[in-house]
Amino acid sequence: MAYYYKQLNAPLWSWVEQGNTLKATLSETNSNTVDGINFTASLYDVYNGGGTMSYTEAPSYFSKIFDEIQPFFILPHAELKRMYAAWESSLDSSLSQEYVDLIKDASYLVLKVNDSMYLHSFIEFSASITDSTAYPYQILYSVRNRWFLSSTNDKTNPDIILEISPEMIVSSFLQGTYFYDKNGKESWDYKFCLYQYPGGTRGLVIVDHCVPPSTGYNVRRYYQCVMAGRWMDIPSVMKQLGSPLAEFDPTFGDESDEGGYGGGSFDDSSDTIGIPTTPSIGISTSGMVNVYKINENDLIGFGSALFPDFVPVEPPTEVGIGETLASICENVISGLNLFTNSQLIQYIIDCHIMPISPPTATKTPIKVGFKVFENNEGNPVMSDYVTYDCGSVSLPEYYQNFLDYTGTQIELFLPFVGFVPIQNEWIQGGSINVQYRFNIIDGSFMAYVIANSSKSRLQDTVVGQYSGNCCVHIPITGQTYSSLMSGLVGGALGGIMPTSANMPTLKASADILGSAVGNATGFGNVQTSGNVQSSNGYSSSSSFLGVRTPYLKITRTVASFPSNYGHENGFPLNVTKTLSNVSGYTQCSRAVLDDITAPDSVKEQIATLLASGIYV
Amino acid sequence: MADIILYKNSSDRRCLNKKLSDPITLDNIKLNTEMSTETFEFDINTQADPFDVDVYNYCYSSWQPGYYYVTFTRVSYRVVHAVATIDPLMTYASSIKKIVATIDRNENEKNGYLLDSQYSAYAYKQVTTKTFPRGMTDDSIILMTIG
Repeated sequence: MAYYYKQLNAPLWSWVEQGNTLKATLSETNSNTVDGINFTASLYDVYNGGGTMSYTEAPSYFSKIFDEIQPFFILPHAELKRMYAAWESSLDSSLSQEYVDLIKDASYLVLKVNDSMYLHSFIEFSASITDSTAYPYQILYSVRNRWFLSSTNDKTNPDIILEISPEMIVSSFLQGTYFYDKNGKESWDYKFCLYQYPGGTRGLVIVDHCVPPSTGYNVRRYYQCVMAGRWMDIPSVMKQLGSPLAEFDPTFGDESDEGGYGGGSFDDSSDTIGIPTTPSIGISTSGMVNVYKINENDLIGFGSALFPDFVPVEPPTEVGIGETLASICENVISGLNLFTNSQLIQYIIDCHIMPISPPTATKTPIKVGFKVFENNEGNPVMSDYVTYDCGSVSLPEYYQNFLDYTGTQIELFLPFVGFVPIQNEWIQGGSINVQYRFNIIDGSFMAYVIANSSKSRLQDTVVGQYSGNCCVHIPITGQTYSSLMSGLVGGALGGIMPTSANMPTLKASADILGSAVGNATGFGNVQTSGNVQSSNGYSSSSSFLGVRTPYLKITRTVASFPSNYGHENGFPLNVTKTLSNVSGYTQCSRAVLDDITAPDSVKEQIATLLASGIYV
Repeated sequence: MADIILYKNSSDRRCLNKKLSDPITLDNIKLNTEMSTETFEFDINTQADPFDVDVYNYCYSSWQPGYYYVTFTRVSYRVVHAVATIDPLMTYASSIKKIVATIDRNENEKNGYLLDSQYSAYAYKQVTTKTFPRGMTDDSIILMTIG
């Protein structure tokens, strides 16, 4: 891939000096042949019905456009429906119902292409597929978690619909079409379509048919747009795309837009902020502290070995002095063992339950202080830190309009943390990934929320991180238990989001508990153990009883759009146009009526009517 | 004196181009008031021009070319009084079509991501959940000692 990319350093267009500006001349004849591949660059004046045109713009203008071509290819459901409507009249009745259903049910297709994808040519998308019979191409659809490839020109063949697996097309090429508004970023949607050239083999295809048909343009929609196509390396595309998305059937709205007045930098680039690497130094590898993963039986055995039953040996009554001394010695040795073990307690730092299993080495005898319990084994933990990936959830836009952003609230439930808010821009039309990084030593963790969204330009970026503690302590001594309780109370007061309303209650509870356990350290001395780290006020212990899988809670406004809504109210557009280029219900509140020769009173009437809505 | 063409208009008043039918030309109509661009009045002698005026609601005036809404009031058995009020949309349709303006709303083109304050919503909201593929259920016991 890098090889072909390098070849494109050869110029695809030429610049002609014209006064203070440069005139970019791009035409279909402006081709460049590299290794037998004919790369073609053309810029068409779609408004005038095709043909080559020259734009007089500063070179930076064009370079900006190409810099801003984002490697995203989106074919929204509504766009497919519009395509179908455009095609319907030109297709004969032999169009298979299967194909009709495919178009109607197809969801949008999102493809991410990596930076090594290279600009190939400019290409126009024809609204009439009957014009493209000479150029057989196929379109890739993602429909309800399945892939389909259709040959749109072969309408007489009912088996043109092929359900395919990604593996079937890994050796194929697709070409994407990119539409870009020439006038900066004023209300223009991205429309992409993917074409596969049957039989196309990388390095051998001569693309010489990127010529727009002379008819069938929807000049209103494609007015002054720059179209660019890219060859895409399908394996890379499929790899980055992952599984096709399940999609809802959008009922309203379909277009994307960018804001601005045209003078900004429009730097849409976004750096990837991934989760950090784990610290290189840990307690478990310090050599001073032994960290074992043990099972329940190991714990029971270790407990029995640590706290054996003390049964005094009764002194014999009918034996000599020797037996008596032996009995006394046995009692003394047993007592010394118990005393030794009781002193070992101070060498046991903690015993707790974690919700994940850390990587471990093979079992070894448990060592406590100076004593090795040969008959009690545990698996030494290899690292203090464990990263757990809960996976990703995709969230296609439900409405594909403003309601996905202003009428939708999304909350993310993070186990051991609670509900946290999620901004729509982080996930709508993209995906969100949750990863936990646990500290096995003290049970603390950091939950990372990683977003991918084409709308917000986020790419594998950590947009939220939430700390907490998830371990449940197993009391080894009475002191451990009191620490646990004091930690519980102190943690509750130090939780992430305790509200002022519940503070007095928590304080009162703390007093009661603190008094009851008689903890000398006081509840203000928060122990590592039992620390409550939860935005919803859960303790780590109670969180163990809660849901342990992250999930999204999506609250959507249920919109009611009557079928005649557009005809009676119109849809928001906010685009400057000549009124002859629009049709149907039209509203423009700020029209300038300079060129109408009429009395002012009539002009006012016209202005009022335009503002309230007319039918053009 | 002016020539008036009466029409049946079946279009909404907000239409730029009206659907007009059944034209009847009335020649040499004498205007009651001095004709203005916005409104004028005239009388029709229905005995001289026998037709049912009540089905007509629109007219074109050649005196000052333009389209007008018209309403009739029967003054006598023979005379119907007509009041014509300008239809600025149809009269200046060609000029209006040349206007370059920012289209706030349109029936056929839209930007769905712009806020639409006119939509209606149900009183209730839809609440759905989507769970992540993996949860944390692989519990383990950790024992830490010094030594």
